[in-house]
Amino acid sequence: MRWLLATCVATLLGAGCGQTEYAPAPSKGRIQHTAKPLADPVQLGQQLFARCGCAMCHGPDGKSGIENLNAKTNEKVPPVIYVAEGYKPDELKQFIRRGQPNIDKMRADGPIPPLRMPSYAGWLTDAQLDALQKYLFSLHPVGEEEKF
Amino acid sequence: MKRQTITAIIAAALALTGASAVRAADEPLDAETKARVEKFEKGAATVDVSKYPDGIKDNYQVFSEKCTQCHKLSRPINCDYVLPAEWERYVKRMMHKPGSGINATEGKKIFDFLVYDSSVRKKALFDEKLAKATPEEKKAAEDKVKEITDKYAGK
Repeated sequence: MRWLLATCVATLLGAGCGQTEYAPAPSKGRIQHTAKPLADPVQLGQQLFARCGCAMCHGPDGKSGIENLNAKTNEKVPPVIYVAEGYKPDELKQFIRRGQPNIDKMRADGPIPPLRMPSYAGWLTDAQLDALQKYLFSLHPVGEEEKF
Repeated sequence: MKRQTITAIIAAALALTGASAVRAADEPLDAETKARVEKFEKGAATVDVSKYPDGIKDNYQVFSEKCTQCHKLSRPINCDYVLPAEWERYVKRMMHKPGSGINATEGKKIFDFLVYDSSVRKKALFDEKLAKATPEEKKAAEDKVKEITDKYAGK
């Protein structure tokens, strides 16, 4: 049941992070900082990763996701520590904006995987997306990159 | 039964929260992606590798076996990725998905096949993209194609 609790919390945070940790959003739920802005984009990205619900599904350090029943990805939410190898910065930011509304099933006759990635379009500013991308790229394990 | 109940609870939680509110924003884009993928998947489902070097033929088998675990082979065969950098990102993205069953050695074989195949079968698009690339990207792409071509030609 722990993952169920985590899922529900993640959903609430991910969908409404502008209303929980931050000041009320002016229009479309865009996240507002009430504290002094962080100068380091990686630090800001780390803060956003924690506060926007990303960590609840992808793991606090992005290394391992929680269970996602019947998801093709081994019934887990994928880790995010290797995104620097799979995406250009703009591609990753576009992915975050778009989210992933449809998760492929592991078993065709099984249930629809309950977790999906929400779209963050309109919730994060370009600067915040930039910071989140930089933080995610910083998670790549040093020395583990495959050379093709 | 317990898992079904849990799934139903989660689905209800998703529906009741703002998650559903953000969904509207991404649906048009997702439909666009879906249409793009469907277009690729309607194309040829195999590649004629009879004239390719033996090592590339072997890699084609790895590509056929591994990639069809998750999607139709016609998707990568007909998609508009052609440059080595594009294929490297794509293959690594797949490799790192939990349960993909693609290890680094197999990923490299799939990459080599896709780069070689793109330089031959999709040459027009390959050249078109090279013409728009920066000098550094162009050189990196040409060097990688030469490296792979030479490797499988036994040079």
